[in-house]
Amino acid sequence: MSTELEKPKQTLKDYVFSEETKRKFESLLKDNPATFLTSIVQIANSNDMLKKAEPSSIINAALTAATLNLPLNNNLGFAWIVPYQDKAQFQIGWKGFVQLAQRSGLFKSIYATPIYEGQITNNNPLEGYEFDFSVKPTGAPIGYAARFKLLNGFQSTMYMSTEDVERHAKKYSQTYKKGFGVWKDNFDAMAKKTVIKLLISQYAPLSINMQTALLADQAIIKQDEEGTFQYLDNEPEKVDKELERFALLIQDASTLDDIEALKKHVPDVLLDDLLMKEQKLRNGGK
Amino acid sequence: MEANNILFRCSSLGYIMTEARSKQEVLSETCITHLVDVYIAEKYQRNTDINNKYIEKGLQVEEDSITLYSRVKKVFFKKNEAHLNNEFIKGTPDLYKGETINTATEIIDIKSAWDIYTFFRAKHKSPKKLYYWQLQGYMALTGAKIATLAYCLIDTPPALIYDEKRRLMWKMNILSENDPDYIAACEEIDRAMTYPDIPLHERMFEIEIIRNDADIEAIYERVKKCREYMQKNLLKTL
Repeated sequence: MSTELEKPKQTLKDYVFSEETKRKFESLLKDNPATFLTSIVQIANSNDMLKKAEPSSIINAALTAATLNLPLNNNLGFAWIVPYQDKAQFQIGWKGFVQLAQRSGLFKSIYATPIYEGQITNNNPLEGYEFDFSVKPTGAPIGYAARFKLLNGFQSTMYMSTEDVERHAKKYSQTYKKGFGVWKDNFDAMAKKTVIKLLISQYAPLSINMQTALLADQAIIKQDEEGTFQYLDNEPEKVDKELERFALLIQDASTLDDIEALKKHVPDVLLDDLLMKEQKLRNGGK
Repeated sequence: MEANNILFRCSSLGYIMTEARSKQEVLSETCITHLVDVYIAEKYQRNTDINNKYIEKGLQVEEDSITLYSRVKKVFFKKNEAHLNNEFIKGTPDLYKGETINTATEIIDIKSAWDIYTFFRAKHKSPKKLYYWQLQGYMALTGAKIATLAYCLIDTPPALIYDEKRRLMWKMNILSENDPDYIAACEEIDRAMTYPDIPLHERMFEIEIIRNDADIEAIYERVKKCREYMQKNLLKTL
């Protein structure tokens, strides 16, 4: 007969009010950590699926919110803890990204907005998009734009058509493909978040907090390997399909004419491969 | 909302171009159904969610189809992202030949077949009317004289193959994945949905469609009729 008793499963309350968790939150939150901890339990209890989620994933998502100093209040729209499968996922809203940008002290302004028919006046991607907001919004948005200006004068704009945003959602969100989830329920807010997130990640100076936010967004934050993120709902396309296409075309080239046809568009990273293939063909394939 | 501002997507021109059953009717039933959908989308921002496995595959393998087309043609093609419109229609052609999309000499529209059977059946049939009108629309928007439907046969992504196998398991009413009949049927699914053994040039065919200015004019006339119908019957009464 075994003398060991099976360890009882820890509930969310056990986790939240354990000494270790309290200590972690106290070190992160100067103001009222106890209220924040209570709010975690309230958030989890308000959602049946979240109630069943792994408690450690809820705590880790909440810790990330505390690290970024973003309130977890659904009405404010800065950040959320959302259930996905049997875990909790940390998600940042577009307002959360704006908040972090403001706090970095580098931004003069940052906005995201839907764009309606007739509002685009210049769509030159090199010079930047221009919009005429005196045109009254009619119908559904045709796209979404985000723009920031830095204090040093640098500014950047990103525009995505509604179709592009939908394509993005279908590519990165399994739940949207299946017809439910946060994309389906809050398309407008998610679209604004997408343009602002892509714009920031590509063109903005990234503070430590912003880097954390970009990595943690939509991730399950692992408890045992601190700082690592697991993405369940989004599987980013890892292969650059255009680059892959070009590499295959170089590989397929069997004549110097084929090589000539490719020279016009060759990306820098594949120039050496193209020249090597050209040399090989000149040497009779050796 | 003004019906005169509504632009019709090239991909749905085939619906409005269907002919009415009798000469007394101006618009067909298919057309009217589509107009109701357009009205709902414009006014209430709700779209008929046509999300089936065929469309899903098309979306997932789009870039791979362009790669296949590029390799067979030995020319690098990049997906066009520019959305075009005129006062009647709008659309985003997949690929084009020419310096810019606005001066394109040829438009190429990629169609990714669901499986080897739909691929070969399409090869031996005339193209769907829906595609004919879609390509006339693209030619109207760009000035191109020729448009090409490029059918591509691409391996089905693993997640979609898995879905097919799951459906099969349900249909066969078996409980274990180790059932020998089920295993054999899954192997058949894999063979039917992946094509590494088929040479690239046998996995792509093209159908050329020549610009027809009379048909383009007919599209514009039909758009006017559709707008009239929407203004009179949908905007005022619904």
